[in-house]
Amino acid sequence: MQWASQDLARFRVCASSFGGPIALLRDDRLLHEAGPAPLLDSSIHVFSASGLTIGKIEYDGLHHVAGFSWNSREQLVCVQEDGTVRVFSLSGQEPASFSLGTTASIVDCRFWDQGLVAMTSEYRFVYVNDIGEPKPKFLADTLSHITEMPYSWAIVPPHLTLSHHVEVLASVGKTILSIDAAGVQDQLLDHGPYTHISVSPNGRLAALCSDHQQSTGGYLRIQVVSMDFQRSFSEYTSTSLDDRLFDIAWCGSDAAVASLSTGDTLLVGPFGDTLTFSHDAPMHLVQELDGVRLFNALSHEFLSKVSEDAKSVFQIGSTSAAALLFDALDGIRLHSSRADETVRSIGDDMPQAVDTCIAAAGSEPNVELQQSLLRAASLGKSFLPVFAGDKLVDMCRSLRLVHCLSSYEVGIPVSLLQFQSLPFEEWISRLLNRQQHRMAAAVCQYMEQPADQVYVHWACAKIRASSTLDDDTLYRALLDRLDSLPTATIASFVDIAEVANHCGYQRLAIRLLGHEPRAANQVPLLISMNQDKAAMDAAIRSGDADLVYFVIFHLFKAMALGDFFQVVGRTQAAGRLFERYCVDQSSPVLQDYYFQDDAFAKSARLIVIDNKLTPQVEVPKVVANLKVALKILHNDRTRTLETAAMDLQIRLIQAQAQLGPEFVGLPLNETLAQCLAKGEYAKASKLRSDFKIPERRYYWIKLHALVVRRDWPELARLANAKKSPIGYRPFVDECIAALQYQEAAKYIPRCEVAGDRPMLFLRIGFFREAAQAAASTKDIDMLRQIHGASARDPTLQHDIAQQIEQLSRS
Amino acid sequence: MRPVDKSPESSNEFSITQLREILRDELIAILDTIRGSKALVLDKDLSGALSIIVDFGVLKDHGVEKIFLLDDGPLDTGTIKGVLYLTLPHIRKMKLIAEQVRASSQSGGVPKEYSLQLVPRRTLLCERVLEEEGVLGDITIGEYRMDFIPLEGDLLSLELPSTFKELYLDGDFSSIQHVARAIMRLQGLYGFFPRIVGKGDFAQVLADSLARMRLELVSGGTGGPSSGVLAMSTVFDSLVIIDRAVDMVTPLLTQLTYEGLISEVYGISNGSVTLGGVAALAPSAAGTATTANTSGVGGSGASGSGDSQSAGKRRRIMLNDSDTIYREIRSMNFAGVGALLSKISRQLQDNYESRHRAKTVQEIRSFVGKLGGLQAEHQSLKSHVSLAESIMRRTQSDDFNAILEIEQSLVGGNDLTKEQLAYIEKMLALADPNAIVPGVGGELKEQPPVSIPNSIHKVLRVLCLYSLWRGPNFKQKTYDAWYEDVVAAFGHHQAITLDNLERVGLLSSPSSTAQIISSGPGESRASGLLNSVAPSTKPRSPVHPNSIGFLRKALNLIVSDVRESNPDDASYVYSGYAPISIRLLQCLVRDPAVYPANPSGRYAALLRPLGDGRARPALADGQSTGGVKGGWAGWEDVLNELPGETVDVSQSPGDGDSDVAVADAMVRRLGEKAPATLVVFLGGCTFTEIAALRLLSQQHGHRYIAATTQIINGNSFLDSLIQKSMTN
Repeated sequence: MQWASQDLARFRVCASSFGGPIALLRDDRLLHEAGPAPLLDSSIHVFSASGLTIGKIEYDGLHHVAGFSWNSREQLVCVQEDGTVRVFSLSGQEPASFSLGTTASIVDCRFWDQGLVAMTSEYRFVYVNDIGEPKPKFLADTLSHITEMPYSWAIVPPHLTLSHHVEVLASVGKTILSIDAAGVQDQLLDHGPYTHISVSPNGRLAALCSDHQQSTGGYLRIQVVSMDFQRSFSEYTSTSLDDRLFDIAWCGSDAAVASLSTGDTLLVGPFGDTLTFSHDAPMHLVQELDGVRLFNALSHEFLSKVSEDAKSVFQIGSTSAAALLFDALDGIRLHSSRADETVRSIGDDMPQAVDTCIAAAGSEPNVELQQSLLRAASLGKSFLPVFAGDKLVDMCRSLRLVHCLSSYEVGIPVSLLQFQSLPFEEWISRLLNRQQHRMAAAVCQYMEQPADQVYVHWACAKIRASSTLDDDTLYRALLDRLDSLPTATIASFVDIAEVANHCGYQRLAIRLLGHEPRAANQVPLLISMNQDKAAMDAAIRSGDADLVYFVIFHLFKAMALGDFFQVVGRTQAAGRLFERYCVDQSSPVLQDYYFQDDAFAKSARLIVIDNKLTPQVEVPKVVANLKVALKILHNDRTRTLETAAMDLQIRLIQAQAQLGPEFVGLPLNETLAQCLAKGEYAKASKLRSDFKIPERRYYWIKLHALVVRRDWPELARLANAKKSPIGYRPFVDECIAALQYQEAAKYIPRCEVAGDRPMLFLRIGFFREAAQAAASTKDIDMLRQIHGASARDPTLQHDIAQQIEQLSRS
Repeated sequence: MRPVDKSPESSNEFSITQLREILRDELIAILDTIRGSKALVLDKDLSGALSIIVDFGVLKDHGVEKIFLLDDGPLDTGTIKGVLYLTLPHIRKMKLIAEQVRASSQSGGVPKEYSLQLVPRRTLLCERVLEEEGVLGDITIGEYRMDFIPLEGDLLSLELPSTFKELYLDGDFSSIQHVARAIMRLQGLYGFFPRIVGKGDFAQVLADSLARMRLELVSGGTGGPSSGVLAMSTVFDSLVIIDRAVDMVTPLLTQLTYEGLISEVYGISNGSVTLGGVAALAPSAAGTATTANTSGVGGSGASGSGDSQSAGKRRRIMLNDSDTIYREIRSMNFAGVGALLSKISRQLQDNYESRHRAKTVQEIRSFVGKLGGLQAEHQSLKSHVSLAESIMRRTQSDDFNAILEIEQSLVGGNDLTKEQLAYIEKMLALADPNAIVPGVGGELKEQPPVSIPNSIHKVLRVLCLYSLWRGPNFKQKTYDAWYEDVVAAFGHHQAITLDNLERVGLLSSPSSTAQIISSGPGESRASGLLNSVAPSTKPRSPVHPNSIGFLRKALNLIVSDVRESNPDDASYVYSGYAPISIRLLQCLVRDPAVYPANPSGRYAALLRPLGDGRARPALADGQSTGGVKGGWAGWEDVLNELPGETVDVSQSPGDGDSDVAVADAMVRRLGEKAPATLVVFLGGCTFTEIAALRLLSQQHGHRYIAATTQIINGNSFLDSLIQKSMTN
């Protein structure tokens, strides 16, 4: 192993689960003896699980690393003491970084899939749920609870807690505190302090260790307790005072593994029974899904529970069907006649025997045994009338991939269970992280899965790696490969283009973007390449207004105003969205935009809209604003109506200011109506002539106002001044509507349409007049109607009857 | 987004109301992301829609302790830690939120946990605005995909306000993306529409968006088998997109169905009407109790609305199909409603009387069993009688009839008479700029007045109708006079309104109509419609000088022998005028109503070639009406006279691969006949159009499901275009 050249004791070590990489960082908290290795080597060495160097992350070493770990995407997360978090990927892209935003320095960290919890020097805890979208938050205040460095602490990841939020367990004094976002809870234990806390993978149990503490008389003690700390399941106390705990982890969910500094590894089972494995040097532990990996400078082992299936085949004296079947295979190899007998004795249990053999092959690490088991299954299936081969085929395929991953070159030693628990794409991306493109493509082909991901990653890597090629050669090289893909149109060109741009191949990036079918994806990259026009076009082409806004927003910030107006004004769609955006933002820039665009009418309109009459803004100011607007509007000759209206409005406000403050802001008609309602007839008359109010409108307004005011003499004057331009019917209608029948009656005879008169009289209950009017127009039907209605006046009814008779006779 | 294949939905009995459950579950999931008790801060524009999706009780069960309406000023949630904002992605609202977050962090107190859920979509823009305001880090942002809300079994609405204005006045096409996403969800549930047809510029933009999203779905799924994603719908035969710009006339007319008139007189918001004054007093107090249960977030939950104080006198009536009486009368022409109501009341009386005939214990028990239903029916009858009465008073007023006559003259192709012009003049002279317009600018405090108040809405509806129908005969002199009148009557700021109306083409001054800028139809649209031309509500290249006059004849818009009580044609909803939008749909489904009648029978005309030798497509023998059959072919002359692009695309899988496959698919599909068609109205649709669609569904034995951005009437259609007063 290539890490053997380093003395692991001098390093801080962290390994990723799922057979992932191992990172070594020189432990700057220890004193180092000068030796052959460069003393101030502050870079992080990354090895594959098989011991190959697969990367070296240059770390400036100026900031001390408080904690580092691999996350579930095989990225190395380093938390510096100053609160900066840096995320390195295996494939050597630029690290992402963010700050935890604490004032106090960071002392220690714990990690889970995509999250982390950091402890500050003030013993407060900061957590980040998702490193991809970091929003650091504090857990509850621990100020009153923790006054000195906790002996140890651990986290319970969110998916294991009741609240679905992360919790911290800290050993303080003799007890353990559990801390979450809401508060701190003392678990009230008295056997502490605990130097190590480890939570089982299913979150039900915790292993607590006391090491070299007074409470245990200096002996190492390991306790397995339930998560509520109420029940103790097993306890182990070492027999030697020299035993020091080096590392502790869980092997599955029912056994804890303790690695001792003597090199022994201790497996503590459910009931306190132990198994000891001896090594030369202390083992680092990596907790896996179904077991634990142990490694030191010289060896790397995997410890897991033997599966039930394997047990039923291989257990000594097992008489299970699967064991018999496996025996039969042995018999056949030896050409023994007993084989047939054995197979027959299985009888109806054969399907189960086959299944068990297949499953046992899956859990068996030894390849020869795997093969034997699969052969046994294959033998068994030939005795079955019906057999669906999917399971066997799947197992063979999966095992083949597992071997392939575990090979020395690739170096991802995983068990079948681990392999199956992650989606296939995840394994591809792990291969890609190790630049195993050919292998990844072959695997995709083998599993009949689309290989887009592989090609895109290859293209990106190719661009990054090519420092000497020019844009065109590179473009051709890439396209040669990508075109051969059946799904070439589907591959995400934007990702490749992004890398190209990043590596300084801007022309290449633009050409690649041309292949991207989704306009929406092009926009952010085009913006970052300062291809403003193209970005705007792509945004509009995408049909998504939000993207256009996005581009506008960006350009607005980034460009000089004049250039910006030009870009925006080029397409109408963008221009109008910009207007909308400015209106929403109440941005003063809009006025400039209109000015540049010679949009005089819009410009004037903007002034009008903003020109609100408030207690602070008084009439002269309003008028002045309007005059500015009018001046602007004069530039646009086509806007005659608007110009006239604006001119009129200025005069109106001035006139209203003279009439009184309550008039200011009213529409012209209402101003007039208010004057009339107050009986200010002279002023009304002046308004009419000043503002050239059309006669008919004036009559309508005055008529209505007078009726409302019940000023009958003035109404009569209006009616008699000259022939009413709107006729006299409105006089009648208005009076009737106001229930003033006497007044209405005065004007009915003056109505133009003689035929209407009887009906109008009838409506106000003037039967006699109605009858007269009807008689004068010889309207017999009307007369009959009046006759019917006037039942309360017999004399009138009689007269009408006579008239009807007369008329019908003639 | 995986289609449900071979599930019950693919049968005739599928129900779009399952969308409501989806929306509810998603909302609950969002509520549950915040621990413990929380305060919900709602956008005013959303509260109504939300009340359709969940009850207040459900919100409470999921930890919502208080509900606020998003408004100016600081937010006082007291000790509640979690704050959930639910708003539309508008910049202004982001600023309000930012202000509240900042104010609360400055004032100290309990640190809050803010979550912002944008409806219906999380936008980059909003994130940027929050970042600018410096609060992005304090807020967790997500989105709540409130897509189509099923109001009825045949009616979906996005409840997005003022879409038409945004599209055509502001040029802001965000809503298209929302509609497209909503349609994608439908396609995810029911499979892809085999065919998309439509008319209007934004119909084209929408169709383009849908095509793009489909492509992304196919290519975006990393590794997933893509064939399943592309399954064609067996439920919908096609998607019909009607851009409101194609038919701006219809919403301006006075709706004459019962439901339409309620919306005109009282205003319907989110499927309910609020009664005040006498109408509310008529039903007993028991009615108030029953409606209080049904009212959701908007009514009982929102503590900021202040409705509850006057609740004693005002009452909310839910208007939906669960009310059996309403179900019967909602789509009727109002002329028949009175008669039907009295018939129902007699039946109800009879049912009550049946208790006297009940002799045996079983009979009495069965009567008592029915009693609850009878009482509910009785209650609903009372409400509808009082509603109908007050509407009746309105429809009998001189005012109402004057307007109706003007509308009918105009749609009939006639100029207005002297009296009608005088009426318009009077309306302008005696304008009431402060009138309350139900459903838009505030709610009625009491009974609606008998005569229609001379609000700007009423005036502009008439003027716009005049402009649209008179078209080339609209005289500049008249326009100028009206311009002056409107400004004098309603104030100077209405000059802006008039300009708005002109820009969207509702009220075109004759001088501007003279110079129609026509961009050649041959222009390349490869780079997207929005890049090349500005969407317009005017026909691109009309052949006829008077487009609407041509359409009136070609589409048979005016039907003289309309049967109001037992309708046989969509024109009954306006007592003689059939909406253009509905006629267009009828063109697509080959409904006989759009073929001009002639003496020798309606159908004889179908086979007669037109003047230029092209024949209208007719139904082949044995083919039934219902469902989109052959797209727009044959209707080019009509489409030319309508604004915007014409959309007609096939989403069938074999598209472009092999002709045989396409043909096969078509044959198969015609054989099995998908039971429904989705009709999307971009920019809102009216109750009359919904009623007409229901009639068509009945006639064709085919389900036409309406999906709209919002339900509108003339007032709400114009309201967003009207510049609000500036004195306050």
